[in-house]
Parts: sequence; structure tokens; C-alpha cells
Amino acid sequence: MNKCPLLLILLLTGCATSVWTETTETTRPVGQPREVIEDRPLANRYLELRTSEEADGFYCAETVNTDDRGRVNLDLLPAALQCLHYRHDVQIELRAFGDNEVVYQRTMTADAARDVVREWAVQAKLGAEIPMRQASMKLLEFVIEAAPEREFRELLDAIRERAKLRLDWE
Amino acid sequence: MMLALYSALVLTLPACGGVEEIWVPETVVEEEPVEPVRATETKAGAHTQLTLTRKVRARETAVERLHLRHTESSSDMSFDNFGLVFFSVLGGILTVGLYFAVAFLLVPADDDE
Repeated sequence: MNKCPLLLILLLTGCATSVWTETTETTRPVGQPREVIEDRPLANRYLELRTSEEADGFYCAETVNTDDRGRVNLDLLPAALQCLHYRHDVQIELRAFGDNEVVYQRTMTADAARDVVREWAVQAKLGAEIPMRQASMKLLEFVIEAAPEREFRELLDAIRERAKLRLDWE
Repeated sequence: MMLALYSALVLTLPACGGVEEIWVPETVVEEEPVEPVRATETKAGAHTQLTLTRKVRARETAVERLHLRHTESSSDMSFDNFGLVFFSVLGGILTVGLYFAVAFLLVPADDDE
């Protein structure tokens, strides 16, 4: 009779088993190392797109990143507006964060800036939204006011109508 | 006798644990840039699309990494789970008993009528 409570305890309690896997730093080679020299995409890297600084301290800076295949889309409209407003060529540099290496650079001339505006105006007329920073929107206003040709002003107006403010955190 | 058996069982539970060595194959890749980054420019609508590539010397070594699989057993007896199981069983017995008591004792059998 005394054994009944003990038997009951034994039956009603159990044991818990936990299993976990620990990854160690210990490795052992299993084959010969293979060395190749090949082109590899600069994948998933953060870069800074920056224009040259003006005398009044103005410049455009944007953080962009590459995808798995090393592709990155650059919006050259701010640089084009800077070029048109300040009336001189603007240097554009793309730098990799971390090692601060310049991976791409080009000069935005007045002709190239007009081409960029024309392309964005086509997109705007097709109904696309044009995301722009506050500073670029101000530049756009100045460039519209100063634009001598009616045709070019219409292109800029088309961009202004479809412009959408991009906030600082975007 | 039972107490001794139970004590021995509880005390030896941690000894049921162990470590198993598992070697998992993987490839260690070390990359060393040989040339600066090259950018290929294409147009994508109004955007300018760049494809950034770099010539690298890649050294790939097939290795096996040691993973340790730990197993540990311990008694999980507590008054909470003991009480829960105990009263669940007791409740079950009482419910079944109550059913038979109501069915056969309180309700008069009318099968013969």
C-alpha cells in the first residue's frame, strides 16, 4: 500500500530532453584549394552618389545600394538641375561606403543635363511620379523661372506637375 | 525499494545527456581584388543603370566544420505539472464514475417494460 504514492509520482512525472547544436570554429580541409580569377558583381553594397559642392555649400547626396547582380539605378535629375541652375559642369561621384573607393564618376554637362530633363519629362507625361528631395524641388523652381526657352520650360513644368516630395528618411 | 529506484532515476537523468560530433561540409571563399571596380552604364528609362563588377582572385577551399550536437535530459517534475496531471486523471475518473452513477443508479431502468 505504501508503494502506491511512489508509483503514482513515478508515473505522473517525466523528464525533459533538450537538444541544441553548437557551431564551432574548428574546421578540417577535405580537398585541394581552388583558385580562380574572375569578374564578380559588387553585390549588396551601399554607395553614396554625390555631386560636387558649390560655393554656397550646395551639393546633392543620395545613398543607393547594388542588388545581387551588382546593379544600381542612379537618378541624375538632381545633378542635372544643379548643373542648369549654377550654369557650369557638375562632377558626379559614386563612392563605396567603408573603403571610400570611387567606383564611378562622370561629368554632367549642360547638354547632358538637358537630355536628363527631357527623359524625365517624357516619364512625367506618361504619368510616372517623379520623386524629388526638397532641395531639388527648389532648384527646379529656380530653373523654371530662369529658363529662356518656352519649349524647355514646358518640359520642366511637366516634371513639376508630377513631382512627389521624398522625405529625408526615404 | 521504489524510492531508491526513483531517486536513482532522477539522479542519473543528467547523465543521459551527451555530445555528438558532426562534421558538416562547407566551402570557405576568400576574395582578393585584383583590379579596381568597373562600371558598365546602361539606360533604364530615365534612370541610368550601372552594373558594378570587379576582377577578384577567389580561393575556394572545401572544408568540414565541426558542429557539436548536445543532448541533455533532466527531471521536469514540479508541483504545478504534477498537480495538473493528477487532478486531470482524478477529474476523468470522477466524470466517468458520475456518468455511470447517473445512468444506472439514479435513472430507473425501463428496459423490461
